[in-house]
Amino acid sequence: MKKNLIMFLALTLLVSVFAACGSNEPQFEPDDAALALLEEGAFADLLSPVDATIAQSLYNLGELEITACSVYCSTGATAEEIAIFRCADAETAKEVELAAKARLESQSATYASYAPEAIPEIENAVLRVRGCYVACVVSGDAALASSILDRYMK
Amino acid sequence: MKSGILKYALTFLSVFVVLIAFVFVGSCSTADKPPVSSETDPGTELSTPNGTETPAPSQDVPPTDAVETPDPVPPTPTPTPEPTAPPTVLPASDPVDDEWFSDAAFLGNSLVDGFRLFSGLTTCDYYAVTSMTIVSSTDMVNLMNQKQYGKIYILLGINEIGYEPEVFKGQYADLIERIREHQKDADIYIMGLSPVSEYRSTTDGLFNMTRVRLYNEQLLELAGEKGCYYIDLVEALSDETGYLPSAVTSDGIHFEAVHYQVWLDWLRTHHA
Repeated sequence: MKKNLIMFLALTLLVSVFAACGSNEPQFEPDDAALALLEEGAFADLLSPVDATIAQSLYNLGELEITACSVYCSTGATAEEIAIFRCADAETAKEVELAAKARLESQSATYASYAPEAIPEIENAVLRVRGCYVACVVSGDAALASSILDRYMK
Repeated sequence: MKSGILKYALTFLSVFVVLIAFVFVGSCSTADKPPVSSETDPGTELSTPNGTETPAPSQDVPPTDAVETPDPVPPTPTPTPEPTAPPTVLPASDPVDDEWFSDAAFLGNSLVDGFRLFSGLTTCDYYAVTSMTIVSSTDMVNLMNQKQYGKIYILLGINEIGYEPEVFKGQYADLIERIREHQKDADIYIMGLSPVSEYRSTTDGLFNMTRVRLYNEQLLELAGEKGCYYIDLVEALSDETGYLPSAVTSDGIHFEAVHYQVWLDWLRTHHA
């Protein structure tokens, strides 16, 4: 009986660790990571924040449950962009990752003829998923952007 | 001698008197004609313009010539005031709120996409694609024409700035016609090309204010011809030097969020 109880408790603990976003998963505000990326000089263009509603529309997120996001878009002169989402759960994060990939493909098609110099930046975009978080960053310095993101979602 | 002179004088005087009498009688015969006036002899009925027959004059009344009266002058018709055509370039007026744009569509290139992202105006519909030209706008125009709008704002041209201006104008005219076929009640606002920065203008053979103004002259003309309104984005978005402020742009053409607010404010105050 005691053995069964211990087994049951261990299993419960194991399940709770892997369910949703536990204490081992990143915990940060998307705004903090986005500001760090902006301030540490990874971008050549002028990036401005967009409203959460517009951000969800831009990434075709539909009814996906996003608990927080920070999206900065360029003037249009380049494809540089910052998009960091905190999703309701890991499953939603996977859906958002797919949406981010589609966004990159769309940008690639647009800029291929419009501003071909933007293509390498799009191809080298940092797309990272950790727990409930998704980050998609198109910058002039992908390595720098990646190292900044490591501080938040390694 | 004296009697001869006297005789001669008497003869001359007689002849003179006869002559004077003759002249006198002649002048009296012309005085019988009555003067032309509105008053008529009460015994005579004048012929009227509608052809009423004049009765024969009485035998006791000396015949008079028909009095000519001028035909009545028809009254000068009051000219119907021609409807005043609405101005192509709208003057500044009281600002409208976001609700005013709820039946508006914005069609255009990356700058319209920027307007969508940064202006904060969410009550309207956007049909914007980076790199859109008139030629490539067909799909978006067809999509837009599936819904009826009260106002349609168009910004195209910066991606075609290398064309001949007249060719551009011709293509734009066709675009207006295509839109009008489906949007019969919409006010169409042709937005002129926005300014470029001084650096861009002085270093680029195409993206410069000379060509921007050349295109905008065509667009202003087109707006007048097609009964559209013209929005002067150079006036709206340039600084006192006539260029796009360098602080708001990285490439001299596109601009950051804060400048879209200036654009929106201009549209709020320049409307039909």
